[in-house]
Amino acid sequence: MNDNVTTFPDAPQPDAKQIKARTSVLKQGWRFAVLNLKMITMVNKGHH
Amino acid sequence: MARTVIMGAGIAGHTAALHLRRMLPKEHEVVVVAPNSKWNWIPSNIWVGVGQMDTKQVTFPLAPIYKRKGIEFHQALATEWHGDGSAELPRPHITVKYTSPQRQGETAHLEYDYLINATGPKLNFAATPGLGPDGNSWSVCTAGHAEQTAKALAESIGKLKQGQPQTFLIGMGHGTCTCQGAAFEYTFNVEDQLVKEGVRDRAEVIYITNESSLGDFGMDGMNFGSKDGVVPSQMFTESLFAERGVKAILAAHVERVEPGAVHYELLDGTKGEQRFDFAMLLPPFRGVDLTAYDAAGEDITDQVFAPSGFMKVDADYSPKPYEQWEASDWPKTYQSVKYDNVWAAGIAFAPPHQMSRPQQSPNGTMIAPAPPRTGMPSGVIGRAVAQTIAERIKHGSAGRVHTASMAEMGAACIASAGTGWRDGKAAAMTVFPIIPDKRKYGESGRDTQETYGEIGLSAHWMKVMLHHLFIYKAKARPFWYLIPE
Ligand SMILES: Cc1cc2nc3c(=O)[nH]c(=O)nc-3n(C[C@H](O)[C@H](O)[C@H](O)COP(=O)(O)OP(=O)(O)OC[C@H]3O[C@@H](n4cnc5c(N)ncnc54)[C@H](O)[C@@H]3O)c2cc1C
Repeated sequence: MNDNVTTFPDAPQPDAKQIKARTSVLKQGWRFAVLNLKMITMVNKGHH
Repeated sequence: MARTVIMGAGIAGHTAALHLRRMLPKEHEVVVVAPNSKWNWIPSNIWVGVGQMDTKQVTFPLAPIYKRKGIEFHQALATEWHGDGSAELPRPHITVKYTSPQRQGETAHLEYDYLINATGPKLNFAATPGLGPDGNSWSVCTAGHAEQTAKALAESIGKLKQGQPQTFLIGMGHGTCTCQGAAFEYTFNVEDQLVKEGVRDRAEVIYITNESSLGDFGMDGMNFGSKDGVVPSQMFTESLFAERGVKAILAAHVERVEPGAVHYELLDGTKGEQRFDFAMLLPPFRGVDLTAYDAAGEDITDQVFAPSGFMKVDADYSPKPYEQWEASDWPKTYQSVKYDNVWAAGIAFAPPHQMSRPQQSPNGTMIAPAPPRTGMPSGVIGRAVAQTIAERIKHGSAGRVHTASMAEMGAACIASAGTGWRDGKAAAMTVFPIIPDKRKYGESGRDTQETYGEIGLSAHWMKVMLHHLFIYKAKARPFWYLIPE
């Protein structure tokens, strides 16, 4: 392996609970609604 | 009767054309000139590049839409700009060369009262010897490129299945590239595809970038607000790389691409070589080849375009040190520095400076990302310019001038792998404002409520939704204008 190729061994890793939450339809349904609201707010701020 | 000519039918030009047509009575003409016959939702080219979508799902023909809307369409390339007219044609006009099969090679002059330059970037593969689909690496910048790339990727996956180890190199093909978000997204799509095909263990995935740290994205990084405090985009991105076992070569300028190997220089001046079996490397961008002339036929290109080829607008282009860069340097109206009836929308305008700290190797090689030029601002600017022109046509100089400063708007980058509803994986990042404003938001320059990163299915659903929404909007289907840019 080339010396200039970096890996990121110290980077924080998600725990099992976080990984499960990423694919939970219930949790993600809620996050989807929040994400939409946040996006709409951001878009509205940018339109003059 | 006023005639507005729009050069370019990408995100900015097409948005401007549709809004202008909607806002103006029929007696005013809206004319679009673009060399491509089809509109392309470029962000979804990533999915074409891994074989998850085909080109038909990300493109559609422009002519029927323009016919339905009453927009005049010329499938042609603008080559000359005569803002003061010329000896033979005194009104301002552009010269175009047709690219449609029916009129291939023919030239014409198109007169205008108002002109929008929305020609986007020239994909400057020539900046790096051997870069690009005509050389030794692949690209996903156009739907056609992405289709070729998917075939090459499938071949490499086939070799993995036969037991041959493969190295996948993805990233930036030059030290001054932008669009890191796209390369980052493609990396994760390739990695996901390798997992799905059951061959990930025999594959090495390496990201090569001109960013000096991961998560820079050409914006000097971001601080994401979260319920646990502020998370730097570097930590967020490194965590994603580590989780997926993707490695990186940082702060690299690719000098040349040979069959199966890139040669690069790092910020500390050292040189290196990385071998690959499959490489998708993005080109740097510059402005398209458009020559400007005055009424006497003198070449005035350097008065109206920056050395990068992008059009000079109402920005502060005076050279100053990084520490003195201000959000207010960035343009607001996108009006040309020379002509008050000409604007640049989308990628076509010249940014006043970078956002990432400019850095050079000891050999004098510039290794720093150019500012990101994303879709949302391109659409917002296209609409603002159309609104300004419509106001000018209806109310003369009393018409309201609309503004769309990138220091007052946000952007979103959603890196999503997979196209199914349950098996998609995505990381969404939003930033507000795009251009950091330290006076308004303190040292980070950004609103940490509006700048955040999110990982999960919800971000993937968002990406799929945006794909369908923006194609619906671009097809000018009923109530398209209610969908924001
Ligand atoms: C692979 C990839 C993925 C991306 N993903 C995202 C994403 O997820 N989110 C995001 O916000 N942004 C993304 N972007 C960036 C986004 O695609 C651009 O910001 C956007 O397309 C810019 O719009 P534009 O109208 O300025 O340029 P373009 O969309 O490139 O349009 C330029 C138009 O001008 C035409 N043209 C060129 N030369 C001439 C000429 N001489 N005369 C007339 N017409 C001409 C072109 O044919 C084209 O029609 C991505 C980019 C790439 C390459």
